[in-house]
Amino acid sequence: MMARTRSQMATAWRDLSGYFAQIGAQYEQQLEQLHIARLQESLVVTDAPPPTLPTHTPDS
Amino acid sequence: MNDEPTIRDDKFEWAIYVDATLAGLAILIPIPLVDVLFEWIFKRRMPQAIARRNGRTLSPDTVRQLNRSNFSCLGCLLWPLELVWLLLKRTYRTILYFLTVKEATDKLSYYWHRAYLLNKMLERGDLDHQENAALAAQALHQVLESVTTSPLTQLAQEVIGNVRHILRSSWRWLRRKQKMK
Repeated sequence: MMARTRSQMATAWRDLSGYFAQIGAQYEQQLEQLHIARLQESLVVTDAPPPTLPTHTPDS
Repeated sequence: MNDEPTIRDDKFEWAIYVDATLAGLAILIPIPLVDVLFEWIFKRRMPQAIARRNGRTLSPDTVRQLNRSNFSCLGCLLWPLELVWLLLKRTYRTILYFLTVKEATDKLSYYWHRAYLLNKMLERGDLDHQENAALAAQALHQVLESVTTSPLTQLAQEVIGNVRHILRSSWRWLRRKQKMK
């Protein structure tokens, strides 16, 4: 059973290289977007203004 | 990065797809929950087996990220209900076998995609560092969720047709043997 499946798949895989390239490209694109999102998040954290210190008003 | 996907000769390697195929076919085991167990086992074997094929070893954390399912607190609370639902569905499915064939086709196609992408991730070195591996795993899950129809579905139908034929033949052979006794 597995031998037949294996040979069926081997034949089909030869014709599917274009399709797999598309799936691969989709993955690369998705990963790139996630990397950019992470980078933007880290920039937002870095660029955030420092917390303002409480101002001491002289006692009246 | 080029916009056009580069078409390269993806040589078929059985070692990469064997666990994916068995995970997809596990659903054809006509015993409720045993099929789930076997699917789970083969699914979990995929990352490490494909890594070995690439001469690599994955850290347990990376394997966990790759094998994780969508998990939430609500999902955790609903788990007993989900189990009951799963048991009912699987029992019903045993009666209506054609539903199984559809589900098996989808699963087989899904696991073939997963095996291809895991191999690609390892080839690219996306799983080499823990920090990048988490993002790569997330990208993997997103791509797999977005794939609905594919040319692999037809092939999956043919493979499942063969398996069903073999299961039917085995069943007839067993019955003949019992009658002879």
